[in-house]
Amino acid sequence: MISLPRGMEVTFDDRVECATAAILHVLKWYGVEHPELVFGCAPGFEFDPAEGLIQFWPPGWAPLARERYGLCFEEKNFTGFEAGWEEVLGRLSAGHPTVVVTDAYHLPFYSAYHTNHTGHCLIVTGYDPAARRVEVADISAMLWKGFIDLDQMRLALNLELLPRGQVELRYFDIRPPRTDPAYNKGDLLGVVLPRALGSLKGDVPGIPPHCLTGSKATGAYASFLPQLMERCQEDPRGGAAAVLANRFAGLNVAERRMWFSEILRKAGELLGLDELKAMAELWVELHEEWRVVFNMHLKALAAGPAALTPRILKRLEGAARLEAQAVERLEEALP
Amino acid sequence: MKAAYLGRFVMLVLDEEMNSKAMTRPEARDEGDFAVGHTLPAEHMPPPDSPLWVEGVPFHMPDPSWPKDNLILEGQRLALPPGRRVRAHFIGASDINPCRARVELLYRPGPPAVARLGFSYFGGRTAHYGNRPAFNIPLLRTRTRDLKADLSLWYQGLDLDPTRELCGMGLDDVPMLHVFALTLENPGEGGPR
Repeated sequence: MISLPRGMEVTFDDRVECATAAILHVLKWYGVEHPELVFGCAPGFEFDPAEGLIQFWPPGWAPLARERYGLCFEEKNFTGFEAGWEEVLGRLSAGHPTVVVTDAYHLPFYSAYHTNHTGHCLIVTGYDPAARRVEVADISAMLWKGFIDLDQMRLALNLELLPRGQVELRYFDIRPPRTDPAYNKGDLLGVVLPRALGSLKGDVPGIPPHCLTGSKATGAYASFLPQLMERCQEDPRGGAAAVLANRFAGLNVAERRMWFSEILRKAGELLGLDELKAMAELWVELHEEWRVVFNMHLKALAAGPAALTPRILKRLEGAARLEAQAVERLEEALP
Repeated sequence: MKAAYLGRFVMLVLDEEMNSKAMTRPEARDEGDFAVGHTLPAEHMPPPDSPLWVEGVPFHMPDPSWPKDNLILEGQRLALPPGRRVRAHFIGASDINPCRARVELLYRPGPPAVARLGFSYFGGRTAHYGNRPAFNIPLLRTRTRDLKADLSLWYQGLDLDPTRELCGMGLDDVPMLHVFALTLENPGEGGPR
């Protein structure tokens, strides 16, 4: 059995998306006290308020992190499983946990198992070569630590059905920082923010939780989309609307949220419902507003909250009004 | 507000409106703050003594020696030289993520109109909101050293109502957005394009 020299205590963390959560977890394991302040994570993710992926990676962050703190972070991709897996095992033997990206369709403990191809990050913490079983920890979607068969792991590590996924193994090469306590007091290099709109409370002093927006809207469109799909399927003119409905069905949850405005606009065109088209505009505006609020929030964390707090509050009030309007119109949209 | 005229273009000189310092020299790298304490290298910015042409539009770029060299959107109101204009042209960037702001176009006579001004992230190469790259900057200046980088400032144009006189702009409070230059375009033919 190859395992970490000291075990990894895992704790549930759904404040950030899975890659960030896993990477922060590994950094904490290495002894970084506040990794969220020195480590922006998950290259390739764009800010998207609907999806809730919020991270800021200032240009030049990676070399600075390496130079100042000895932190090393690099995404590694392999077109062949064996070479990549050998590296993961080599890291384990040297005492390093490894964050890997998987297709959750093949993870037996995960809700997407055999239903939905979606990317998900795990931490590999051990390997039993005799039993060909891999020890993994999932800390963001759920708290789960256990073994899965190597063959199953191999399937999960093959990302070809995911966007950017033409690889058979992807891992994040994270090396421990120098044991220089200065890194915890160092310059801010990046910021990782919580994922859900509703979980922002307390991050910036003076922003009361009741001002936060987002969860109401998220619930509204989650329940609205199935109705809209059904309506498209039933459209007596058939054809394009039904095709659109089939395309809805092919989108995963994150994609549906991300493309919500576009879905509304397209459905409005195909079903001849002007209200849907007008709503699409409103939802674009709401998403823009969320984007501004989150970016202000991010800036406040990076630059010091005092100056921005009242401005964020004012903005949040506007966003909340817009959200209420968008949700209300959604509820009335399908006669 | 000061302005320089070139053909049908009115290049605004925004020195008095600037409220932030983005460009620094190596010997004074901590005198500005564009993004998380990082700044843009003054020696790699366009020279201020001749117009910067982007998309056929001339811009009066800020002089890096100015104490403030860019305008952060903080809800302020810009008084513009009044006139009928067809288009407003901006050079700017977002210091965090692509972001858009409402801009109230103050006309007379009549009520204001609302437009959206958006800029892409200065550290990314993906253009959003119809932005076009204005120019690239090869270095990021941190508090301790210069790093090779691939930074961009972006161009965006906004259509205006040429039947009314534009006399000002009411800016949104979106402190991620930085404007470096603004040129107004008059209707009609003539002038270099």
